[in-house]
Amino acid sequence: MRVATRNLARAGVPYSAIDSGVRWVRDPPTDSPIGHEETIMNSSTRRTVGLMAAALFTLSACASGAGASPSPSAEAPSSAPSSAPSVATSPSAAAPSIAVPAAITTAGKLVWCVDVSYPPEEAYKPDGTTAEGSDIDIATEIGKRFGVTTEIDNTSFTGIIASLTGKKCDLIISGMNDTAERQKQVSFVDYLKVGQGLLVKAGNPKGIKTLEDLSGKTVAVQLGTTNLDALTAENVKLKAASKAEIAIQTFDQDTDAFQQLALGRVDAYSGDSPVCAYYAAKPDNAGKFEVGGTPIDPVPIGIAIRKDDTELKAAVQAAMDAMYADGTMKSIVDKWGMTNAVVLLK
Amino acid sequence: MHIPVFFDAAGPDLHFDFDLFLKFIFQPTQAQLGGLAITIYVSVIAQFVGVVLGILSALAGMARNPILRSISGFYVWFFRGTPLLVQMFLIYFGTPYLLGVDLFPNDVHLGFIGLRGAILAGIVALSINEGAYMSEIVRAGILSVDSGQTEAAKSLGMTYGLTMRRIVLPQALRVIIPPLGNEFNNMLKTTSLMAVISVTELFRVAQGVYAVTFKPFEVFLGVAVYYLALTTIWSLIQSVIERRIGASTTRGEEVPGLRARLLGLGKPTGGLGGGLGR
Repeated sequence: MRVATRNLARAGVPYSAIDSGVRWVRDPPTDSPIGHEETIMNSSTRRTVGLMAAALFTLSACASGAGASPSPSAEAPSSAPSSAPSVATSPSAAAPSIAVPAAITTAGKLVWCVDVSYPPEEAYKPDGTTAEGSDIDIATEIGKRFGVTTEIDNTSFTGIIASLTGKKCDLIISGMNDTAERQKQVSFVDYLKVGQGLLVKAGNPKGIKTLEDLSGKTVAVQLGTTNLDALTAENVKLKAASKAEIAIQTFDQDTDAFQQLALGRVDAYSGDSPVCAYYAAKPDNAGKFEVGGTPIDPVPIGIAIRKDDTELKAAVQAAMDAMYADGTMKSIVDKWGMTNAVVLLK
Repeated sequence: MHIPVFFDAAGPDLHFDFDLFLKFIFQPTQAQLGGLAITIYVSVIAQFVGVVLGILSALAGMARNPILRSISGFYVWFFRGTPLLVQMFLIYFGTPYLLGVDLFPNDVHLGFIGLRGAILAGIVALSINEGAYMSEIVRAGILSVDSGQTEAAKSLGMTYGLTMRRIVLPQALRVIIPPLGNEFNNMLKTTSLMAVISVTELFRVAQGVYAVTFKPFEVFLGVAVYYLALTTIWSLIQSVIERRIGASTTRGEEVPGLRARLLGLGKPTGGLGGGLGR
């Protein structure tokens, strides 16, 4: 499905057109006659048709009582009344308290940008194609509450925000810290708090407990992470105090950074506390590593959403509140062995 | 200063940050200069080792000994047939598990030279990969030398080594040099793949800047300018080398100069089989 979307983009269809409800051009819902019409139209008319389609689906969603938010497009004339009843069944699964944006209901799915290299929050199953993890469970759960399917778009963390703002996905869930710097680009719905941790060899031979202890040592970390920011900031402090700086090695994938520690090439691996706990607890690694302290206070991690996508943000927040209220969040955290590594927001 | 690139009500806020772009190019940080140095010296070393490996492999591939021939054949087949990216991961992350010894620890000391294991792994991967391509280029060069030359050398009592050194390789060089220059141009850019094994060459430094500024276009266009500068300077050097090498063997036609090379202007050049008047 991801491939189909990208092909469309290459064929010159702007992503905005794809997003405004015509994502299913190549893969139309079985019960939608518009999907078939759509395939024969040229790209210049797609945006208009997408809007019309969105309006239509909004109408039908209202009719079915799915709680679609009021929108000017709902006043569109019912130019194709025949299609309304046929699609009315699909969005009705959504909880009535969540106002799912019409475009999402129309698309029938939520596309999540995830950098699938950060267990236990996100990683591939041994089959190499199915993503799993606490973030994946949370994404799937939100999708379920929206009444849509969940699609995971594996995106390199370095470019993940650009992918969201470039509309290659609807949201990001990727263990992403909610920072002021990132808030300039996107808005967040926080879902947990995590601390940053340092993983070291068992017995902590170099006595690394804080970032300061890393002075003159080598540490591996994923590029584009707040963990790297913390290390860089520490280096500024160390330099000011005329102490030896930290030798930082950056990797595109978090798993490669951990591999450096496993190979004994670095003194420490820097990652979020749940990830450190996960690597240390993996059966293969039993007794080989330990967490050398949690130097940074817990900070919130959030689901990132485009700033103008306020409707979606409200819907995700509503789903999140519901997941906290009924204990779903806690059970996901427990399932992935993160009970002691994360802090629940409520 | 912000220059709007295009307007799209639905699209992301796209502005070209000209200041950042200029700053990236004209006020390089220490990290950028370090990255530039790594890019250059890794390219030079890897190309040199690659040429040596290529000559050895080409000679082995044309040897009478079937074992030598099959070693060369396997080498070229494997390293030309698999992506360099995969080879880099294999060598850097894979070999410690295969050998039980880490050839690329954090600090490697080769005599009096100390360098990072990741850089050494990058050099090894680039060299081996380059050797496979050079092997084919050298082979073509050797084959371009008339077999009569070898026969004449033999009849004079020259040994195989002497024949190669004095007769065949110098003539083959004329054919080898242009594609060799091409290979080095490629090498300058291919070193960017070392970013995946945490070597802070030019591209990795740019990625680091991008991860902080979230300005992909400015940063990557900036780094593209750096690569363009490198390859342009190399084009200049290459045309000088070709003119020198070609001096004794040109057939009255000029080797293309820099302007012709960059703009595709100028007289058509006499390539292989370009003329009969020897």
